[in-house]
Amino acid sequence: MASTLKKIILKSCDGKILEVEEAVAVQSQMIKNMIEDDCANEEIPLPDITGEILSMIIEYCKMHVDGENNSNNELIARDADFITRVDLNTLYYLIVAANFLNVKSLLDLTCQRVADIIKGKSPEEIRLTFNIKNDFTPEEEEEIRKKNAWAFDYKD
Amino acid sequence: MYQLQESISQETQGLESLTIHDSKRLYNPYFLKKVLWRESGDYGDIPKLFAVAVHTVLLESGFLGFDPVSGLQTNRFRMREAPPRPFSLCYSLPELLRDDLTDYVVVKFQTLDHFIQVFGFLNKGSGSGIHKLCLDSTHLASLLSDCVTSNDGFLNSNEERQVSEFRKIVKDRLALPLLIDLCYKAGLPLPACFARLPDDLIRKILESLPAPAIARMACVCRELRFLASEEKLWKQKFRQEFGGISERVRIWNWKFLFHSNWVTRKIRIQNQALMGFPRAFHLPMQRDLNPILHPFGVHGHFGLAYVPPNIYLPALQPHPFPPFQVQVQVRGRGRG
Repeated sequence: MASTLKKIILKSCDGKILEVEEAVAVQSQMIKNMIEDDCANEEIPLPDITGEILSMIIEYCKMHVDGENNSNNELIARDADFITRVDLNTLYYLIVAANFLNVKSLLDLTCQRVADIIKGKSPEEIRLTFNIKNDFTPEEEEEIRKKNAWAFDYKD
Repeated sequence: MYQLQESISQETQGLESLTIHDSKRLYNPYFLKKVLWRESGDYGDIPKLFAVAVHTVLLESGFLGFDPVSGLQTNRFRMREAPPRPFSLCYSLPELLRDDLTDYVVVKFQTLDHFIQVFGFLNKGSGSGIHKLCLDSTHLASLLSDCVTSNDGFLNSNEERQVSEFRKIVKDRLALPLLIDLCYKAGLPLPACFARLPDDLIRKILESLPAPAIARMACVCRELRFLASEEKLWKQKFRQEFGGISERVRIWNWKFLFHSNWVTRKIRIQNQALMGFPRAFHLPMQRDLNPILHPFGVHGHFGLAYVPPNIYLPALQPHPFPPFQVQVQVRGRGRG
């Protein structure tokens, strides 16, 4: 197919330019829509996405396009390998970018990763992991903990 | 002198040219490896090598090194000879270095046997805790020296994975917490972290959590209390856990309903575990799930029609339902 060889040019917010095959780029619903509307002939500027994050997303999309013929388990293992290498800060940017570009499988994967990090942690541990400040007054905290006491003795 | 900052910008430029050919190289530990290779004159000194590695990750996360005595920015890693132990390095942010410097972070390195401990804290220590990392230097030593010695080649995938694991640990457990503490203290906008995600994305994450974890999330902070108590979320969780409820039934508080069903189920499972098998006359436990309909076998006529009262009554006794007991006695003994 001639159309799959067409290149899409993406420009990150820090000025990096990446050329991507159309088959890889259409993993993003947003870019797919742009191609269908015939707006993707020139470079597509992507505000808020840095080159580093963009190249990670492209790597992920490539992995999925190349791995189409592989078994499902293999793809899941690759996904797991991809996502466990990512630190929290990068994970945050990946979630936001996957949401913006509308790459559903990546958004699911990243959100699931955050959920897995949260699972089995106490509120204190969650605060520590994600550096969330406790803005409850002591009374409020006591009340909410009493209300949710049932959830504390359960192991996820 | 080691011009770390300079070397970083060179690295970054180098990486930029790499992007087009091979996007994968960009975030692999290439960067860390190269800086390490450049910086270390003495491969043998593990604490120093380790300090350079942590230093690199901190600079990568947006910190700037500076000299606390002169208050001037020092982009250099001044440590040609073996460092005195323990030793500290100071970091701040570009935004803060322009003004009078009052807030900065201190990172202290300490070697304890074959463990290397890193403590990161704010200079004024108030309000924030100490972030501590403890790494096994025997493991780290071979890894870092591998990084250093394979100066032109690529690391094998296992080594690469270990280096990125190291970088991830330092970023997640030291650099990011310190950055957030410092921004919080100095009133700067917080760096990217979970709390800054848009609500819709936090909702999506909450949806993929098990119910008890959602309830615990509600105890974290006010915003999460709000997001983790939404009816829509608990309705969905209720359906996943206990199956559907007719759309015509109007439920006002799904979270409460979930909670009561959860507790009831737990008691039932505990009772079953206690008895070893589900008891026949435990059907009345269902009463809690559905308080409107009468449970089968207690109040209905089946039990009474086929079971003599003297057998039936002892079995009922563990369940204190006074009204029914009275009724059974009256009917069973033919009085009244």
